[in-house]
Amino acid sequence: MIGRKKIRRSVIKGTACICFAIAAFALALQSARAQPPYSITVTTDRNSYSRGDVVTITGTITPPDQGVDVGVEVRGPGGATIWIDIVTTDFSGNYFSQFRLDPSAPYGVYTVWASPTGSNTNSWCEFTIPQAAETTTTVTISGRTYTIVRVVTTAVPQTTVTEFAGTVTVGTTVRVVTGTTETKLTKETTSVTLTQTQTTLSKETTSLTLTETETTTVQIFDPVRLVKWWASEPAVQVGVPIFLVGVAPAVLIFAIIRRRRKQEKRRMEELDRLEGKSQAEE
Amino acid sequence: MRKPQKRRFPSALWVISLTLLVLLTLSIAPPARAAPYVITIVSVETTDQAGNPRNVFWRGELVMIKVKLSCPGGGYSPVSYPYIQFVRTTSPDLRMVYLGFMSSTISSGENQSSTSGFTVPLTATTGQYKVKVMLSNTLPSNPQFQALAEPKQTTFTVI
Repeated sequence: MIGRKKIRRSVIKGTACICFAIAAFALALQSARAQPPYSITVTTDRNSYSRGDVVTITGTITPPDQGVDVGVEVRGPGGATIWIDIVTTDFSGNYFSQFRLDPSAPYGVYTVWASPTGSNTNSWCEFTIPQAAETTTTVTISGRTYTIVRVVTTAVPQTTVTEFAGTVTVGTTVRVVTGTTETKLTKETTSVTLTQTQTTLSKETTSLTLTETETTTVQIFDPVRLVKWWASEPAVQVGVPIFLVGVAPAVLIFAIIRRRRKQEKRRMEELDRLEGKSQAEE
Repeated sequence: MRKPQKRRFPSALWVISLTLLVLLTLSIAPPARAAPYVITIVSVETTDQAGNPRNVFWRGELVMIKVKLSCPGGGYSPVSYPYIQFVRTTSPDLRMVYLGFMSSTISSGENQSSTSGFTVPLTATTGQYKVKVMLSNTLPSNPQFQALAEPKQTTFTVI
């Protein structure tokens, strides 16, 4: 009888363990499914642009999550919306939106807003289109003449040329016949970096040297990134500790109960055997 | 002679615990985070003035963009969702040539259709133009922003 009571107690304990494990599982599942509140960053690839430039907007949500919709809005100096986009985050929680400024875009300060869906939060940054003396002028590279489509008056020692009308090699000297120090040339799919080696020789002439040629972006599948993404999954973050705290002890307790039951069974068999023996003796 | 009772409970316990383990493992597996969209953009198509589907236009022609929406659900007490529909058209060189806003409300179980349009500028560059339709409750500059449908895209060519 005592053995049965013990078994009953063990069964109650076991049931309690199951309930605990179910509760833990439900909690883990709920935590994994619930959309966490995200914080967001937003930035543009440059602080100032000229009319007709391509504006690249990037940012990240925290905690990093894939497939989260992010609303992007750009407002001009007058407050009018000039760009709107809904983009989705990648494995690392990054998002990206790109557009070209209108050739007649007003000068002034532009505000970029980004908001992750359903998070009651947003972030913003600014860029400007400075009122610069934009003139069409010519540039001579290795004896060939090209048209400059952008002239920036700010004295930045290095600028990236994303458009260029011709093939150039490293070390080519670019003579710019203009009063400014930074230039942008035309052609798609070519990216070269112009580094200013000499400041304005005279008010009309600037000498620039090409230090890099074409750059190519190659997307490679990165398994390490995938592992990082797995590690950053909230389901894993919640599920593993819950597993360790909830299910593992429950399984251990069940094992103990089973072992005790076996012992009890063996004891009862022994008792039966002894009883039979004593009856036989009587 | 007293026979020890044969109990099936321990094996049942093991079955339950193993089931729990399997379920937990499944929960640890990365869930496909499906956004809770309440509206579906069924289709986006470009048409001519007469409403005939067309995806090649000349400069100066009118491009009509027809959007069909549906809101799943319904029943005895349909829920209404106010929304803003953005129709954005970008040129091959990423310049936005058209941005249309439309504010409306859709109820669960309802299907809606809307058409907006613009004239291809005479100075427009030739090539493939992208039309993207997005739905949200407000503008992204508002922290309450929420995408209400998965954005849908279509293209047309200007020759």
